[in-house]
Amino acid sequence: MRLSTRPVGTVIDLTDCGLDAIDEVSDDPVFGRALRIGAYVTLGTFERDGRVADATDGAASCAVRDIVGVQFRNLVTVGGSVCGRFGFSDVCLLLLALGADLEFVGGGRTSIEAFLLDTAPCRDVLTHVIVPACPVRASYQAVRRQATDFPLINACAARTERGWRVAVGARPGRPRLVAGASAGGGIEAKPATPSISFDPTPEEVAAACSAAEGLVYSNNMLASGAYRREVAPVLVRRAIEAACGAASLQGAASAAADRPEMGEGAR
Amino acid sequence: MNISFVLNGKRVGCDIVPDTSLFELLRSQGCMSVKCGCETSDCGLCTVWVDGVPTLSCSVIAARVDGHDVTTLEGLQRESHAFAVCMAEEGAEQCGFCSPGLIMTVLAFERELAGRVPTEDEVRRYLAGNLCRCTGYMSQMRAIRRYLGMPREAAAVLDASIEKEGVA
Ligand SMILES: Cc1cc2nc3c(=O)[nH]c(=O)nc-3n(C[C@H](O)[C@H](O)[C@H](O)COP(=O)(O)OP(=O)(O)OC[C@H]3O[C@@H](n4cnc5c(N)ncnc54)[C@H](O)[C@@H]3O)c2cc1C
Ligand code: FES
Ligand code: FES
Repeated sequence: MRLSTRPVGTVIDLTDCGLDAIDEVSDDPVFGRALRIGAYVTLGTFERDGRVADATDGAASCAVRDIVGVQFRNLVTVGGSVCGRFGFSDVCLLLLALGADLEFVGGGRTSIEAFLLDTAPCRDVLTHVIVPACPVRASYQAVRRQATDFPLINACAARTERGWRVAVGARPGRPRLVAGASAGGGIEAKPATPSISFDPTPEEVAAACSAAEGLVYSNNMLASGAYRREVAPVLVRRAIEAACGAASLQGAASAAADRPEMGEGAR
Repeated sequence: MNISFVLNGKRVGCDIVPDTSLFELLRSQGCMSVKCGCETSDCGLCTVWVDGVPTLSCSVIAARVDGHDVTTLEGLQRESHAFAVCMAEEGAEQCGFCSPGLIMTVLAFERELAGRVPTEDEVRRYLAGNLCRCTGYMSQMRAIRRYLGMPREAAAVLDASIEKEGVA
């Protein structure tokens, strides 16, 4: 709103709607144990919450800690970040890799991948983001030209008992899965992505990297599409390696040859 | 529309147009410490506390603070004195336009630390949203290290000697 001259007819303030809490539940119909994150939870709260840290293996705080500054993150919300569906969104990327579901008033429950694939404008109010609260290994990786700038490419890998999910964002289009299955609660990602076994083989990692290479990339003021296509598979490999611990990824690390020289935010 | 909130400990009632920003409202209430340094929510100069939490007043619609508690530097004269002295003695102000926002953020950080001495990295991360066009941050970092009781690390000593002797 601040940056545009577009008239805004109605503004709905969600401050006092009780959507600023994070609750742990054990009876979620899809995930069982889950975190229900209110849409009005700020990125600052999301970054500091211990239960979010556990459910994301610390990747949540890595994903948001370079977004502008503390005061900004105390203001912007998880719901605004999801509903904005910005291509560069560190939050959408993280939630896609974690297999989160979204709950809308009127619109019901949907998976975040279905929401990110949907090009129709969002007309419903998001109330909760639901993240499985199960043991997870995860890693978030991004390249920024400067600290606190927008990511010019980002990737996130998460391994839960439901399997691996790996996603790439800031292409600069919206984040897309490059490996792993849909967590349910919505339509499957298209095209089908390669799957990775619990202890990934070098071939599976290579398949995820080449799926990353096969995504659509384009130019914007931050980077060229060609640069993004070069770097995305490297970040995917790093994210998988970091998430499962390099030791259990025999042979795969040796293929991580070319490392981009730009600064990065990595776990 | 009418809103009522607590500004620096005193209840204030005002009639505002709906799209007033908190920044505009605070200036109109005489809080001239609150500055606006950007149009993109990036610079941190407009930092105030809403319910004790540091927030960008330029990016909050004023109607949202109805019923809430807002603190600006005007309300922290006593609490900010010791840090202001450190800043003055370390030459941490040039034009000074960014100082109120910086002080609001440092004091919020100090409260969160509750007596713990932070690391250099924590300070840098907490202050990443406070930009300064003049100082290059070294003098500000010296003032902050001193104020928060941080050791003058090797890097800090090096900063100082580079500044004093120049780089050949
Ligand atoms: C300078 C700047 C730098 C940024 N850098 C980054 C970055 O590096 N990485 C990153 O991930 N993000 C970045 N962002 C985006 C930021 O993190 C927020 O996601 C974004 O600003 C949205 O903020 P908000 O929560 O105030 O939502 P709003 O601006 O209030 O809302 C965004 C959109 O979502 C809609 N909406 C909000 N809440 C709901 C709801 N509950 N239900 C339905 N619709 C809703 C609104 O109507 C609006 O269309 C940046 C933003 C700025 C301004
Ligand atoms: S004026 Fe720059 S962040 Fe508010
Ligand atoms: S002293 Fe001039 S902007 Fe910081």
